[in-house]
Amino acid sequence: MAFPQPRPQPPQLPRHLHRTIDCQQGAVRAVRFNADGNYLLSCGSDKSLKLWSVSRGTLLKTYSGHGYEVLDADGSYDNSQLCSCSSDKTVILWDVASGQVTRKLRGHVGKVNCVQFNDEASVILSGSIDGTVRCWDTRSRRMEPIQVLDEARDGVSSLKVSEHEVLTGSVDGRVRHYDLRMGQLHVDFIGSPITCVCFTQDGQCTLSSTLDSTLRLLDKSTGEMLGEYTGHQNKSYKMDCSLSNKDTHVVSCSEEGHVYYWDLVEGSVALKLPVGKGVVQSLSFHPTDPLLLTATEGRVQVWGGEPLETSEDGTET
Amino acid sequence: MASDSDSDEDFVSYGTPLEPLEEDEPARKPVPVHEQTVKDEKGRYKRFHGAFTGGFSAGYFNTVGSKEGWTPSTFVSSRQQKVERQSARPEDFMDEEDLGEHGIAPDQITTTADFGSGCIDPIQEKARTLSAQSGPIPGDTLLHDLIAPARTSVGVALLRKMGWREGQGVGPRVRKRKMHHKADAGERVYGCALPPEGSAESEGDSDDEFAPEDVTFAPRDVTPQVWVGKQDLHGLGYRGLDPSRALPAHTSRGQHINLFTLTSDSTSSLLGLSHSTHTRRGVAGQAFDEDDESVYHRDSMSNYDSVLGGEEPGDGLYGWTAPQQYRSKSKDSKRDAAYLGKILEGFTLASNAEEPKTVFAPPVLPRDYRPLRRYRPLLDTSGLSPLLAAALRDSRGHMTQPQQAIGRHQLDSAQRRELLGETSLQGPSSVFELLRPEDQEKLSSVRKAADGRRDVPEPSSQSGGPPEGRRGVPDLTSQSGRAAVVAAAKASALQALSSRFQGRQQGAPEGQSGAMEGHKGAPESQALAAWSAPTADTTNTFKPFDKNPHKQARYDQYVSLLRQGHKDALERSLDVCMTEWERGREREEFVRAALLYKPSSSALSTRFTRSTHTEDDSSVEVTQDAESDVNDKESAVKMKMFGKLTRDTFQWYPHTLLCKRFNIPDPYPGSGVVGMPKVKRDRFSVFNFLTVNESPTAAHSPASSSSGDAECSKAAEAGRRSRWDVTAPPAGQEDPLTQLLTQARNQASVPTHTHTTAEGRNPVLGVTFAASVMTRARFQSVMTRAWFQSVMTRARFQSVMTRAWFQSVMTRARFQSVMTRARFQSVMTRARFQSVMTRARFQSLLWNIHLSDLKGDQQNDLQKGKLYHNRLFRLQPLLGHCSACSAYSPCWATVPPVPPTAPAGPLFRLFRLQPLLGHCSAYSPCWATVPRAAPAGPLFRLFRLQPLLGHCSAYSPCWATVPPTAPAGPLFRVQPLLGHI
Repeated sequence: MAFPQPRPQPPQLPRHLHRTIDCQQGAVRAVRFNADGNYLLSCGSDKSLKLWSVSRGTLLKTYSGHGYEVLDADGSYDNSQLCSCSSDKTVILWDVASGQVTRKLRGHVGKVNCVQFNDEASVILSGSIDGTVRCWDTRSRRMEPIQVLDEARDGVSSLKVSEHEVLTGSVDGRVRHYDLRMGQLHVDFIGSPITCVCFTQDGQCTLSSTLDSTLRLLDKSTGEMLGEYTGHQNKSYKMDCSLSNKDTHVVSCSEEGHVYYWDLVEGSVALKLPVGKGVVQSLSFHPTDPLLLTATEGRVQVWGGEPLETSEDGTET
Repeated sequence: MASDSDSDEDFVSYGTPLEPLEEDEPARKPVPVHEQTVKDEKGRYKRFHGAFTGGFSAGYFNTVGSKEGWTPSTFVSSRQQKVERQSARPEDFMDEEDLGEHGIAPDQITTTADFGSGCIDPIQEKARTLSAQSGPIPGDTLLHDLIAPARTSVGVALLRKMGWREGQGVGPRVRKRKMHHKADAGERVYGCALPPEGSAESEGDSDDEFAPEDVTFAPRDVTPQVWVGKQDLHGLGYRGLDPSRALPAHTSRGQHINLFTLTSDSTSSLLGLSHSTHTRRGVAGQAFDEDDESVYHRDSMSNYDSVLGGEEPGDGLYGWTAPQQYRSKSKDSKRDAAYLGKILEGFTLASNAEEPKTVFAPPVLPRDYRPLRRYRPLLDTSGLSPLLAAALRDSRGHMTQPQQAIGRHQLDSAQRRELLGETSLQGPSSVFELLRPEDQEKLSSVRKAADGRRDVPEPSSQSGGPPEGRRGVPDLTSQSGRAAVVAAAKASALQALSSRFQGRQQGAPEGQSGAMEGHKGAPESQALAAWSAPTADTTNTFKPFDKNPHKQARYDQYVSLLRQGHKDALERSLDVCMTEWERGREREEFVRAALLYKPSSSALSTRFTRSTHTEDDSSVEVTQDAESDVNDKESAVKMKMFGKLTRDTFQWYPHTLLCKRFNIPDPYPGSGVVGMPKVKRDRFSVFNFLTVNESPTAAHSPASSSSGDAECSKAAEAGRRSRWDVTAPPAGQEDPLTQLLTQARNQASVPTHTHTTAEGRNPVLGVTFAASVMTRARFQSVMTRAWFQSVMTRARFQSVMTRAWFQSVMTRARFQSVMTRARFQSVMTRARFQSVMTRARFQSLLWNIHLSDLKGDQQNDLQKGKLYHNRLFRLQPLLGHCSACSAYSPCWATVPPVPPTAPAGPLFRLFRLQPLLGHCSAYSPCWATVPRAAPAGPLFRLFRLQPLLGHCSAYSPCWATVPPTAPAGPLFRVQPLLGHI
């Protein structure tokens, strides 16, 4: 290399409002980046799922077919398919381009809280209030799930899939970590109902937020607690948490309308970002860039690490 | 080329022209693959058939026939017209397809040998040479060579006429100088260049100094470079026998043998001279020359290469025609020098050396590794003495892993307790302590009454009865007796528990072994059905292997497994350490013993059927590994001690398909289990309803005690209200109850003739107690047993018949489901059959060996072809049962054989069928008595059919009595029939 590596920039926290999108679909239950972070999905309480461009803030497509409010969505790695789950107990696999329902998966007996593709989008995993996680096969035409993970004793609130692991958080206060490669199930007892779980980017730890207004960073292999993050308010809502793109910070919604950033190592609040007056229901961190999506009431806000030079174009705030 | 205006016509076009495009025509859809078919010139589909004719259909549907079938040619040869001898040529069997352009023998215009050049087939030539040598004149071929016919092709002749001479190239003449310059110029050549001038031509160039200006030369004869595709199956670089080398005569070049120089190869060889100036023949890359003469001649080492690949043959190009500079460049690289082998044709050395593949060594196996997976045999050591158990363990030590290496899930609570050094628990040791005091009193009073009665001497108990039943009645009131009961109960509880879990673990492998045992499954399943029947009295079992305690232990385990309804009980109870032969023998012995000594009350089992839904009702599937205590975890969370305290790890079986979708190898291949392994537990267990005292010393092993066995100890301490925590012990704890009932029954069965009323009452008393704690199903099964025994005491049984006889009788219990044995015997008495047929025949019928009696068959067979031969002989016994042949009379067989003098008309044989014809109403039995002197006119034979014709209304029976003297008009005989007309 001819040039020395540039001095590493201090991690930037998305604190500047880039754009506000009024989704026009009732309350936004969840907002998600797609796999590469160029688009966002907003799940509305008016039974619709909308696909937006992050950079321009324009609506690209509306996916309607659910019978009740959409609770979660995910995009496949190749951006060709979407999956969404809803209070109507179904999981729907969408074709992105045509907006048609590819498959409507019924089997849950309660509303479906969370849905996730696996890495190759060959399996959809959906966690429901009925306490099961169902693994649906997208490759075959079978309408029954491949396997039902019914170990949870209460509703499954959150679910993440990595290359060979499934992480579920349940209202019974346990984080379950299914290791497919080892054929093992690790159950970590936390006690308080769990609202959101996620892996760290390096896959070594798990982050879980619970209804006792605490986030805990647990070592994945041993279950020991590595960090605890408090200060925000999370007592009754299912709210998202996340890690920043470089695992430097822990991000969580709060019920009083803020987004909290904690330093991952020190555990201190790094930033308290005011988002709105209402509850910040959902957030999603960009997979690579310091970009954050937040959803409050009917709006989705895009936050960036640096202020946007150009004025916001045509979106009403 | 003529440059005409319409030059299109001069172009040579190859292939099929595309159809002209029409602009207004809609775009055609491409024909899909499945509609693209290949047809031959006759429009038939070419289907792939086999090896013949390139794999496509041939002939008429691959036959030699035609649409009308195959007609063989007729051979006709007469004296006048003698057939000419037809010699079948291969072409006679070919059709036009074969003779066509793509057939196996294309019929095309070729030049004949006469037309071709003077080229002589070398093989033919050699053959001719050899024949000439063996011929009368040895030098015949010399003459032939001397006088060679002038055979040149037309093309050569034409060229000659145009001024061409052999050795010259074809084309306009060129100046020498120009050519020279061209060679020296060293022009850059792009792409593939012609091969550089060979040595043969260069020598001509070099010495040719004189080159006048105005003299033109013919161009050099250039041998065109021919690229031959690889069509054979030999390896790369293989060169087969070179005929030009193999055959000494270089006649293929059109040379004549030079008679006058002895150095000529062929002449010298022909004349028998040998010379040592052989060309060097390398071994590499060539098949050995089959040179006949060189086999025996003396060879020297100078004929062989001493260095591998030292000298390159030929031009050193190996057919590769890259520009010279590149070749020379690659020559001087170091790697090339190091490379010793010959580079194959069309290959060059790689410019970049390939990275060597790293091969990781396989993991080193431990020294004591055995590639067999062994399942620990389930040995019931709890009932044996500790010394014996230790000996058993030691005896298996060398085959299995040491005890410590077993995972904690395989240990039972006692073993774990030993490892941890804890004392045993001080819980309630007996069921009786759990009962209310008044119940206990009641029971003890019952027991006392029974004891009092037992003092009456019993004469038959010493001789016959099952030894265990008498022996093993402990005194519940005394401390030692109770301890014995408790010990037995614990032992069986442990056994039941461990076998239950072992059963789950071993489920998969034994499913495989199940197929192996398929052939002997029938007696096993019988034994299983007998022992696991709900009414089977399995408390008192005969001990057939009492002399061999090990074997008896194994047998007991087998029986206990049978009782629980395990299908693989046999395999599980056998010792793994034994040899296959021993195990096989023991297997048979056990099955036989289990069948022989199966529970006595199985006769009753016919009155009950197994409910099909009981299992669903009474048991529930629970995950085998239970989560450890929540309270501990909560406290751990409060103390923020995450980690071991809050984590539970279970075996979890992902679905195979899920693994496939995640691109992950199945962690448990072939397990068939999905999710968490499940275990069936009783839903309503006795101990769900009993209040269990909480023991003060609740030693709790944290987090690790997730195995099912651990619950045994946990249940005893039983502080938790969880339903499942308490369920484990009942299997064992129930046994004291049955023990109790056994006692009740045993005391009832004390053989007294005076206490019959007590016999009836006492078991019921015991049972009423049982009913307060037992499920209904189990109560019924116990109850019926008790009832049975109260009705018919064992002593009475024994007085009536010995045990063995009883068992042998009871094995036929199947009949009893239909009818009692007495009735069966009355039905099956042979008296009835004897009235019909002989005893031997009946037996042969019964045994299905033969349908007739053997002796009679033999005798009958001897008569074959004669009149006495009875074809139906073998079927006779069967005919007796045939209801349609009710006309058959059993005395039939006794009909005296028809005398040989009897008229043997064709219909006479009908006599034998008389009984069958008996149903024919017109049949008259007196028929056979028709006098033989009756007129035998041609129609008289009809007389014999009279009975059959009897239904014909026009028939007059007096017809036959027409006097023979009556006018014999032709219609006379038919008159009666004509009467109605």
